[in-house]
Amino acid sequence: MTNRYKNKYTIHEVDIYNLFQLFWFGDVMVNIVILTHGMFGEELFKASEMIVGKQDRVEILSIQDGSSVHDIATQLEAIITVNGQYGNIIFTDMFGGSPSNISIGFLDSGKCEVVSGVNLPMLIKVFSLRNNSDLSVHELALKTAKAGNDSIKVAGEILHKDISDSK
Amino acid sequence: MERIIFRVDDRFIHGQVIEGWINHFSIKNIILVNDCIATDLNKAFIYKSTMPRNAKLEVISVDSFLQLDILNEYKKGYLLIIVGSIHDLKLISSNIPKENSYINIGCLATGTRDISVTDNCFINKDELDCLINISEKNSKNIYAHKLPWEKPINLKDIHDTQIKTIKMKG
Repeated sequence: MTNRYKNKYTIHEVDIYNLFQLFWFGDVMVNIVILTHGMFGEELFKASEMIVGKQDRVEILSIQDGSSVHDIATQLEAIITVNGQYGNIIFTDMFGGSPSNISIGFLDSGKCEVVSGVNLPMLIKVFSLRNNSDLSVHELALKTAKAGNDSIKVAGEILHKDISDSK
Repeated sequence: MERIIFRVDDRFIHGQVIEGWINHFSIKNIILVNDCIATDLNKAFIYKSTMPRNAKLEVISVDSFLQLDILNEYKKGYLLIIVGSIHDLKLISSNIPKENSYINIGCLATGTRDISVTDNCFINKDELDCLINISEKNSKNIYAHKLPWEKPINLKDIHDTQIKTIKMKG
């Protein structure tokens, strides 16, 4: 369910869609928003689906050259509003970039969290954990960020450490 | 590059500004001039939290900026001053030093603007005229300049092209 908001649906139209989705899927899982520069988010999401299968309650927004930050914020607000009751995690590509700066404005304790530096292991982790109703939005965001951090390795360092340990 | 850099960017502080300008020139002092953000502690905090180590961001209003004695208060190193619109640049233009300053335009979203200067910089005729006016009053060129290592585009050239086009149509 990507790019539903690219054509600037009104909140009313989005709400009807959301009710339909709730009726159809009957789930209450946390909504995921991926907001990045260019088509990075779109392609990253496609890559994650190759690994964990089709995902629902995922929205992709992208900032292109010439995009209005205000328009993106309005689209993001529509998404966050209609999915507020389930909680939202917004993934952005880079802390300090426009996607991150826009998203932080929607931080809402317990309801909406922002995680920057999105990578493939992070998406895989969040898709595998978000059905766990014991986790709060904040806890889910923390576990996701940890998965992302832990996945970054310099192969040469691992090899060097293994050789040193074996001596 | 001149020591005091003025930049118009409707995204204020973002990737291009941090990586392209602040980190590239090791800028330690940044001033964001905007009346709304200056009174919104949350927004100001968001932008301050994005600053690289050793870089300090001040968020101030247009009036506060006009009271600043830039050359005396920021004597050493680069200084980056960011405004969000050409209108705000006009408001602060009386406090742009004649020497050691450089004015550039970064991201300006399309919206209803019909003049495409770069792939992420769009302006309309009134804004172009305003920029030329500021340029002439301050005796310095104004450039569309996304990143320091890219070639800047002199807005006067865009203005001249516009005039030629209008004359040809006429």
